[in-house]
Amino acid sequence: MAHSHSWIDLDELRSLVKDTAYRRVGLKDSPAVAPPSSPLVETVSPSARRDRMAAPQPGAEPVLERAPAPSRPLRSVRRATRPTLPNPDPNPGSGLPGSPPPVRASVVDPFLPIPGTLESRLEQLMVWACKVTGLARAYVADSEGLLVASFNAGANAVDDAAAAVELCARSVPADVGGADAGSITMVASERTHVIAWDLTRHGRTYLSLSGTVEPTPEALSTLSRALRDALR
Amino acid sequence: MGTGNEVVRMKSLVIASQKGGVGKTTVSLNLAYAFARAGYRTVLIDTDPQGAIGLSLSKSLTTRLGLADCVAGEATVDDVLVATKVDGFSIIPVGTVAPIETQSFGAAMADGTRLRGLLDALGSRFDLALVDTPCGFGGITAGALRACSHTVSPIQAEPISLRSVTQLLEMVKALGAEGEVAGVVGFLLSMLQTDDEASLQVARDVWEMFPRELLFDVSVPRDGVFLEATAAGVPVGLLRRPAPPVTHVFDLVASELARRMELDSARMVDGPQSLLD
Repeated sequence: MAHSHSWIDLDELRSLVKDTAYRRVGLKDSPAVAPPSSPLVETVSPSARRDRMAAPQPGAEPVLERAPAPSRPLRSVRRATRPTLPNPDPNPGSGLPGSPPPVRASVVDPFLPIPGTLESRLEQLMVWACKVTGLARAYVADSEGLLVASFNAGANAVDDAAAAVELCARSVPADVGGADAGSITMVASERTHVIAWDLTRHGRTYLSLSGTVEPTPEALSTLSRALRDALR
Repeated sequence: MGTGNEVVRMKSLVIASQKGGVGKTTVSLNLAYAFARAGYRTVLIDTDPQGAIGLSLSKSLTTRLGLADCVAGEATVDDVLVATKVDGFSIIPVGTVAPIETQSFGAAMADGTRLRGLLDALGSRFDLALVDTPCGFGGITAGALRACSHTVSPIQAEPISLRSVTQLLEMVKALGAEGEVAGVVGFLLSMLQTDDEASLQVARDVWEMFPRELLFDVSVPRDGVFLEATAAGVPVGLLRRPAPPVTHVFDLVASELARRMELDSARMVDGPQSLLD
């Protein structure tokens, strides 16, 4: 029964344990230092608080004994660029003379799951989702917020997956909204993050995507259904 | 061992797990209490934006200045350190983190620099810092793993929990490739139900799959007394007299961890102690 956890690669697990056990990593001690005695440095407005969390104020007196090294630069937020999709209208000249061209919905290739293992269907789902949204990376997380599968994760897979799973767990908790299916899009630091969810036969499941373009509404609207179909 | 005169270097232990609800806060609080009772000067740091430690102890802790205020540059260590009635045991609550601030708090914590600075500032006052983390591997947990020296991960004795262990190890390994990271000193089985075959099977699997030196001789049972303790706002060891038997599970785990972490204390004298004089 010990090896009934087919999703656990025992050799990999042993290797990971070996690599991460304390004695392999080496000891890091905190140096003993005198306690700080400075009072509150200053009072700041609540609106400034988030910025101060993100990066120390230049020239600010350090609060802690050792001034923290400059943290990651303050992230800017701007709109991402939409991908260029092919014009679905085979006859672009149609429409009433003199009237503005009609707004047409983009055509999105439907997701047609190929029968196979769960892993293969999830991979097909993620490949398809990246194609129709123009986003580069995809993750699937289960109702517990645990990462189930990833596609094109790259060298920063752990951080990216962690961010996606945290967004799933914190930003879209099951008791918020109450919708069985939906999606949210966040554009920050020149990257677009999309989380779609659906109430599948495995419980609430999440499809998370990230990249540098802003998907079309038509593409976004198909993600939840595709997730359900992949897990059917 | 310390003689009372030498400088002791504080160790830091992060309690981390990808999965929520495995008992991280219960383990953190009761383990910190056990270390303090054993004579180690212990500080428990809550990094969970939801303020799990504060919610477990006292409503007043949820409204006090805390870690987030330090990170925001609005408070000093002295402002946020809360002494308890237990000698040598202090707490740093997370402070007030508004929902809109959660992501910036996580981003600020992610590289571990802020928490490491806090630990440095606490280094002369304590033998051990325990860091309770939120579930998942977001910036807060990553920062704690980067800043601390050791990691313990509770494994809930339920089948799905085992999956998250691999993810924790991958996270530690990836962070270790970038720089210093808290090495794993133990996996602690939690919420074990000895009358439930599925729960027992997970325990058996854990014992087969993991090296003995990273497990403990005891497990934390699923016990209603934890709910009683949370309702009363106390560690389980302070719930009543005599203390509930499960209290001693944490005493044993603390004792084993002290050995694995080579924990030292300026207040403790090594060697046989005379019983009579």
